[in-house]
Amino acid sequence: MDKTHLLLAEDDVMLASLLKFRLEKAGYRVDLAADGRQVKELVDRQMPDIIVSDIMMPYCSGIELVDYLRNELGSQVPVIIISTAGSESNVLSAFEMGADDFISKPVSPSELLVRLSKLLRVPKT
Amino acid sequence: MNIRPLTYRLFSWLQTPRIQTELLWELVLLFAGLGGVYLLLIFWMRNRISARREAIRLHKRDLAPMISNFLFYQHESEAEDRDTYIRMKIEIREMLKVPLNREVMTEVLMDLRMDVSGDARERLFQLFQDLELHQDSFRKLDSWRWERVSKGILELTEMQVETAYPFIRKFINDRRSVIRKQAQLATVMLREEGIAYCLDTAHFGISEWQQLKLLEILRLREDYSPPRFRVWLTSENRDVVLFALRLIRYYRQNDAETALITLLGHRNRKIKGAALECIREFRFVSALEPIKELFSGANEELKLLILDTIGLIGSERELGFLEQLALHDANFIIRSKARAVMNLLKPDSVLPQVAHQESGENNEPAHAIRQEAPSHPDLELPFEEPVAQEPVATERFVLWEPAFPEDEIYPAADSVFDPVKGTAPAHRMADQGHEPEWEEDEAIFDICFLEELEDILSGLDPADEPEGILPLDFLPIIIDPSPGEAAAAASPEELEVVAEQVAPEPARRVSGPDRRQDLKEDFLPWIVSEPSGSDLGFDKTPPAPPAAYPGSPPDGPAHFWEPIFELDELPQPADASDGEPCFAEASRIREEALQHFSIFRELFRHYDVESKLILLEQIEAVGEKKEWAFLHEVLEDPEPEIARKASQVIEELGRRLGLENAGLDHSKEPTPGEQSEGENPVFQLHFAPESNQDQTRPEKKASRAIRTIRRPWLPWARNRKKQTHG
Repeated sequence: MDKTHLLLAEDDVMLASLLKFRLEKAGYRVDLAADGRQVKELVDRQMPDIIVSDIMMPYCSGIELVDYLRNELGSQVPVIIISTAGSESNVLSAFEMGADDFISKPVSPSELLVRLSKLLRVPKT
Repeated sequence: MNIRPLTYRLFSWLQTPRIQTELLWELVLLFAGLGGVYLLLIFWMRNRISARREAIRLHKRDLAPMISNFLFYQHESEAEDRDTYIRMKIEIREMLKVPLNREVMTEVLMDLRMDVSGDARERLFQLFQDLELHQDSFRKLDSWRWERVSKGILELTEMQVETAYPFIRKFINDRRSVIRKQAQLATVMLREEGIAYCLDTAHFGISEWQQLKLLEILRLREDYSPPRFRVWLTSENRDVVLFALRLIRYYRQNDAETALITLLGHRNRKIKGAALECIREFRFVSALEPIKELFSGANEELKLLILDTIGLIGSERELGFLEQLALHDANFIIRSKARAVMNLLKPDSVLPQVAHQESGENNEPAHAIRQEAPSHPDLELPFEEPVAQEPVATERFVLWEPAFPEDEIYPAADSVFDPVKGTAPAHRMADQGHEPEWEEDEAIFDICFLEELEDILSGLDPADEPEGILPLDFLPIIIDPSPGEAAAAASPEELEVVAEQVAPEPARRVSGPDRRQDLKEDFLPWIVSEPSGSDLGFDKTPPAPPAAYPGSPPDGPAHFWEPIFELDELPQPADASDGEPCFAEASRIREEALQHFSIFRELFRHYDVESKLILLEQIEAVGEKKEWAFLHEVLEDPEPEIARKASQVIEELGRRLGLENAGLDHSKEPTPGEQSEGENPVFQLHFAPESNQDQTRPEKKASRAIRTIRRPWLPWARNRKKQTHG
């Protein structure tokens, strides 16, 4: 059975590594992107099954990424936004752009897995 | 005298300093070397810091998968994962033998603690202790450097090393404030009883920001059962008491009623205020009396807080106390607040005051305002005193009071201020902003005129007056250059100047002493005609005319020669029998004076030749009789073209208006003696002397014409003088 392709856009190397490790252990195939440009390159190359993106990234924010996916590429791929505390307005903007869910820092990997499985309807590993 | 040797001798110390020039190059080399060393040192430090940062970054990259593996290792994993875990564990222990790696690992875990939550965070804390990184933090506590001690406390606190609690709490009273504050936070965070220990032993002050941070730690603590903070209300540390009061309010511990009331007597105002806020929060009614006693010695802020508290927990029994405050407190804010609280306790106990009008619009005395103000049986508040009116203004109101019906004096009197009633009519008040400006000016002018006239007439004492002299010395003296006297008298320019110099003096012959001061010298009144009934009580016998003017003074007293006419010489208007003819006559005189005002005169002054020609054409088309005199003045214009055009316009205008013999002959103009009996001779303007005398100075003539318009009684007076002496 093919693994679910997940694109993780996070500029914090340690957190990205930690989440990648946890997600891979949960059965996902994870691609890492450190900034918005890499995200767009990866998306243009191959559209993942789901995207987990930090809301604050270099070159392209999570909101812009959602806008790019929805309005320019016309993709309906599920997107989970990782937001920081106190950025509720940004989360609302992301939802208006078409984001599907959000999770706030500090991130609980277990909670993230639950949200991913809920969006993808895949069994929790 | 040779100055140079002397100067050098006296100021020999003013010499150029001797510089060892052979050392200059050595100094240059020295400082250049020092600069180079300094720059090299900077570069070396910078590169060292950058290299360390890069090394840490690389270490983090290497440690990240290890940490992730450690964090998410599950014992029920497959055999391959287990082998990886064991191999990685050995590897990481080898790495941690290097101090830099230990430091990097600590930083990585500290960073991850901020990014992860839930079970990942718990594993992170566990990993920190498994890798024995907390031993490094303990060692930091023994450092003499405050930043290392503080960092050690922070690491042990953030990584939830509970065993560090007894080692950290000893820093609570450290003399170094950073360590002390870090230790307070750590103590409260590591154990539940930390707050009690902190409050018990805190010897130094606890800043408000620190209190908020401690409160935040307590607030985020799960399953926390706070102690009864009232036990710390007896602390000798003022900040501990304040923090305890804050905690009491936050955790709503209302079992400290007696202690809170007692704290109202604390010498510290902050503690008083905090205790008062607690009392208000918990609605301790028993504290009302101590609160009132506290009021007298409190500052404004505390007084307002007390009034707020009384308004919240008080009842109508406090109205007396509040009433005293509203009456007698010197502070306006306190008085206002007391009234507000009174209304809070008993609605409508104090009603709004009657809105006061401007002092210039309302001359009601203060007692009248008091009578209109609502009075409450429970309270008589001191209503605001109206703005004190200037005595002069009040006096003027009295002076304006007419002795006759206003409707007969001034038909529009109901549209102006009523000095007797002290109020302005409603429609006046409502439409004040829409009334034409000229109407206002006219009304003000008429009122001033009536004021002056009434002042003079009512203040006249017949016994003091010379027989046959009308006390009209307030009028300017007008000299009529009659044809017979024109040669002997001064030129019109001189006459004009003299007439302005003889300004009306204050009414020195008016008997009313108070009103005498209100006669303004610059006030130019209107001409007064005689009432038909000689109720003024002075003789109409004509005085002897002035012998000469202005060269020789008269023989009698000075005021004898100032009046220019007698009262019985004034025209008798048709309505002179109704008792108040003078005002109607004056109004009529003014209107007639305005009839001779040509609007083209002023325009004509500022135009060029071409525009003047156009203006003359317009006069020819739309001009009236009032332009007659103006057109004759234009005949004297230096521009022959304009004079020629004026001649044509005069002929056309005379033809159109039916003026016979309206040519250029000035002698054809009606003289005062030729006027018919049906016309009012009062306002037959006599322009001939001016035009004759001003042939060479048209600009002077024009300005005089304007002055004549501004003082319309001048031509009339001249005319009357001419009639009298002619």
